[in-house]
Amino acid sequence: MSKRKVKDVHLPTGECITQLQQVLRERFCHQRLPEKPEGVEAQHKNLLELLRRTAVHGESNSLLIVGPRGAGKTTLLRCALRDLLQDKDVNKNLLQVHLNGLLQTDDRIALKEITRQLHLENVVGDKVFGSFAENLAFLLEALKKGDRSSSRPALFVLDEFDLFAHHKNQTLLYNLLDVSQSAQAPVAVVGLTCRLDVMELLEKRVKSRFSHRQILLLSSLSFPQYQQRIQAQLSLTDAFPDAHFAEEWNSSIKTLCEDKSAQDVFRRQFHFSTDFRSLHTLLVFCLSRVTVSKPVIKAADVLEASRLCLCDAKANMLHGNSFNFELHKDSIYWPFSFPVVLQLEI
Amino acid sequence: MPINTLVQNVRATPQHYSYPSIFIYGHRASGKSHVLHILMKELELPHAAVSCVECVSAALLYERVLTSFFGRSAASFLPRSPSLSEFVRLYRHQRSQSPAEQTRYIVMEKAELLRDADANLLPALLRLQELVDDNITVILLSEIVWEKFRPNTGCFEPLLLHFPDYSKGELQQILSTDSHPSYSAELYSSYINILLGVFYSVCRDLRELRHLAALNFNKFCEPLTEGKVKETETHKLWRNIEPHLKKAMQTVYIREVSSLQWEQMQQTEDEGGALRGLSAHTHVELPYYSKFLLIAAYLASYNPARTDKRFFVKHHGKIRKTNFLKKNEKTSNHLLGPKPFALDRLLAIFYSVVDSRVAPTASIFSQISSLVTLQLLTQISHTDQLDAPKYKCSISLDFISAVSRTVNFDIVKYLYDFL
Repeated sequence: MSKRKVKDVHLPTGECITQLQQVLRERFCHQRLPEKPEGVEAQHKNLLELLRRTAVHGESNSLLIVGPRGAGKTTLLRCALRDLLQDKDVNKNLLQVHLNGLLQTDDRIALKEITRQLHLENVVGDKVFGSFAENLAFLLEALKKGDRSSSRPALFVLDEFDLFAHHKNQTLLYNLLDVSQSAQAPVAVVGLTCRLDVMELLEKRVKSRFSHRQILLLSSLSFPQYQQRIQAQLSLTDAFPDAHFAEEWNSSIKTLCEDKSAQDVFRRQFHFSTDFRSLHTLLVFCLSRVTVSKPVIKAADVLEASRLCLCDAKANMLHGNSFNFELHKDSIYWPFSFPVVLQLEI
Repeated sequence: MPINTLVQNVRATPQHYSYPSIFIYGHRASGKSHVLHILMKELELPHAAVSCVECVSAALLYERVLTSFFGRSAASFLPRSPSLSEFVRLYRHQRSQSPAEQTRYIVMEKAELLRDADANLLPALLRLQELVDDNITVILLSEIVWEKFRPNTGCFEPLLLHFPDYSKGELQQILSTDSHPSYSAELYSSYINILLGVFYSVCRDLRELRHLAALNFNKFCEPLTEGKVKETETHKLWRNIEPHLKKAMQTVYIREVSSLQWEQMQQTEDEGGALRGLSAHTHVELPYYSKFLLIAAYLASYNPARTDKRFFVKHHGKIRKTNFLKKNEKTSNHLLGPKPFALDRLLAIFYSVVDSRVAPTASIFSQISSLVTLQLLTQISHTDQLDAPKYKCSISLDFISAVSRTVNFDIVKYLYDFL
């Protein structure tokens, strides 16, 4: 009975539009995690399995997720973590340290960040350590559970992994991977990088301690699949409060995706790049034209958005320059130099 | 219109997420900062206005951002030379205490200077929303296109918006708004019309045009104040102001004299005076042989090598008008620009041009180097090649005519283009 009541809820159009904008903007701008990973099920299963082995069975692992920009590496990892943390035991025990190559530009800063994220500032206090390895060993020792028999499993996520490889001596990488190889504590090291040749950047001693496990996210979508995904991205789910509005919206999206000119735009986008980040740019432009008076996305919006996205920046700037080169009709033989033209103009 | 897109993005739903970074580019004085500041003020959006020229170090940037969003006390937690990691940590801490109810904006002007900062600053700012986990958008304003910003390994691509430059009609509209109080608006707009007609082809920058308009308006109104002409006789006013505007054309963008000096010069000059250019070249004084060297260099640059025999040898044979005449018929050498010549050729022409006998001493050769330093000649060959240096003459016909007149040398007679 209650379900039926929910279905009959009708919100005023303004409210609907606001809700719609919220949902879609979170999807496009904030990269909200999808319910189920689409197109990367195998990789997701692989990653989840690996993380579970560390978290539950105490096995140390290292892994690299490699894919071009916008391929969905962070999304994949976050989905896997979300699914992993649904288990209560894991949630209680697993320690997470998230490092980013852009932020932690130095090993010293990285170590401070690790200390902070493990909440061990008080324990470390003012101790002075001889080397990085000592410091790390101390931290991991401090993570041992109450009965001193086993350590808590720790997950180290290294975003922009290739930037860590540029640190001096690659100390952090060496030590983390060393810990993951020796039996000190169950540690999982997951690196995310956009460089496909990241293995070349690692030193020999670091490379040998790495397990050479890589998850590649290279998209192999065909155009019909791409189109379906676009439709799915723009559609509203059942969770939307006003079901009637959601139905209307979804059907308008379906019409849009069948429109010829919109399809051309999507095809061009597909040939340009199959990752969804550049698509989101296009869709944000379309979305910003949705108002209360016009609660649909029309093909004209898509065309206009495409024009904005694909305009040539240099040509635009050239238009504003004050020299109008009136080309001679046989201008292919035009050997005039720029200072000469300057004199001619003035 | 990019402004519409911007407004729609910004106004409609402030509490929803906005795209993490927006890049706005356009020419100087095309209204980028102005529009953005008005938008932020009118809609009362929480923002931090940062000029990258002021924030030479990243610490200043962090301080500015934290102060704007969380107050001065938050910024005091920053350590001595904060790293980006510390800034993000501090921001996250502050954000957990006061999360954003609506989108926060960081507006960064002259963003091209970010490229010269640490390599990690620009990519981190582009994805700041993700790093601090807050509803924040970074807007970058710049005159340079995005392709020149992109780091090597890529980064989070921002939304690109272009602010087009103003058209002639729009410039007219904008410039007519600051009219002089003692004159009518129609007079001022006819003045602006004349001004744009003269200057639009060389200069479209709003700031420069406003400067020019202010500078030349007094001269324009001179006949009115003297009572010679009435306001409605625009034709007479145009004839009065035209020569001065043409002269002012040479000073566009270049402030060789200050505005005050320019106005004084306008007043002291008589009506039919010769139009003296302000260019420094007319005041250069050269020693006697240097002038001949310069003349020889000009002849070497602008005459084809084949014709040297005809001009400079006393008893030359007939010059055969072969096919090469047909090929070069359309373009004279003057339009093609100066050609490079070897030192030997220069000296050969020099000796034939100079009337007296000149010994090839070191002083002659050093004068050639001085001409290069004065940028009247350009050295083409590498400085390591000492035995056969090549030069090019980089002066105009007017200049060389002035110089040759001072030594009583008729250069036009020796130029191939004027045969």
